[in-house]
Amino acid sequence: MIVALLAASTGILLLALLIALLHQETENDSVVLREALGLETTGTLPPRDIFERIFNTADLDFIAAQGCRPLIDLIAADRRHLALAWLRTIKREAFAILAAHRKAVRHHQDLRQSSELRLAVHVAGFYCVYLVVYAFVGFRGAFRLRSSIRNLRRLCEYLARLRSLIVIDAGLAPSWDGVR
Amino acid sequence: MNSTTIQQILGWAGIALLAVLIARAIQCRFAARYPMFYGYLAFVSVVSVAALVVSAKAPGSYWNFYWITDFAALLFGLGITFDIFDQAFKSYAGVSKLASMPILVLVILAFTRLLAGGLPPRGVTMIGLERDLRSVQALMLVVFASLVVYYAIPIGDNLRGIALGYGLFVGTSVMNLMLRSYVGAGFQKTWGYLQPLEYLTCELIWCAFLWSYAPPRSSGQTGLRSYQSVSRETELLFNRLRVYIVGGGSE
Repeated sequence: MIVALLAASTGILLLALLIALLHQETENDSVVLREALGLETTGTLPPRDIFERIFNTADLDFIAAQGCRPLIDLIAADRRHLALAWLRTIKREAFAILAAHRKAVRHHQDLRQSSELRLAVHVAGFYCVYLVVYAFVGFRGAFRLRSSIRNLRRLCEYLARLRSLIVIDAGLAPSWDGVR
Repeated sequence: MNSTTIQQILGWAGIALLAVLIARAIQCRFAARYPMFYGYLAFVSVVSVAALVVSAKAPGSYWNFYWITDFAALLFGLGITFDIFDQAFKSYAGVSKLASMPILVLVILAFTRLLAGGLPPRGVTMIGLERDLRSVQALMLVVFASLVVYYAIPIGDNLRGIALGYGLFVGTSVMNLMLRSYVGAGFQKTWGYLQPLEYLTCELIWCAFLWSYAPPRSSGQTGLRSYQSVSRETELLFNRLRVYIVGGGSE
């Protein structure tokens, strides 16, 4: 029974990857098109001022002082949308960095499993943080993020420590922590 | 229309498509670019004609014929898998090196299973053995597809078509064999229809992707900087992004 299930999982995994392989051609075309047009996607993080504005509670405090409930709800909804868009921009940037990395290293002869695995751990770490923050903003709104950022930082530090332990357990290069 | 007639129609349709594929590759002079694949198609064409004749004239010996030729096709298929790896990663020595270790492990696994199954295997064991060997082959294709998708390696339409069609065939075969060994003889009739239908789908995929010669698109060599420095920089960027989110935009 276990062997049969493993075989079925392998079959399903292969079929899923084939769909990704079929889809990849479109991606390649868009990359070629972007390159032909000279467009670059990396290096466009939103400036810090935008972040400050999105999460700043000054506007909310002002409206709250007027006691207009519909306006409070409206500004909270708007800021949530803006904050989620800000987060999505960062995620896009992360994927652009990863794509640039893959493109840069795929011709290298000394491609190493340990280095690629280490990078995968970094990407997973980033993605964990992204998902936590995205879910937080999605459920509780942008204004509550600032007050909870200390807890989030603590969570991220915990995740980073956990990740370091995993890396050490896997016997990977000890120099990895130096770049953090 | 009875089930035998339907199977005969599906069988002949499959053979006709195989003939079209081979004829087109010879006409456009690219059959020699993929010798293992077109050798496999020629082998399957001959075997399929023979199978239809055997099933009509000597149905008693059909299953012996089926298993012998099926294992020969499986070995041919392994050749195709290695050929796909070779052609796709020709210009990507590092990626090829990454693939070599899991492939070696899978080859050892396949040989161990083959020896453990006993030679020649019989009856239900044969279905189990083929399922396991096809699973190993499917895992090899999983390694291939993962690396191609992850590193966005431009493999070209022909190789993509070969991998897609053959991958679909291997993937569905694993599922069919799993159901056959689990459900038992009750699945035999359904299998009789499913297998030729699935193979026809694969042939249609090959027709679409191998209608004309489409070599892999060359990608710009970006080997100016060392791999270590590129990796270190990517890791650093990801850390900065993580801090950017939690630290609230301060990089």
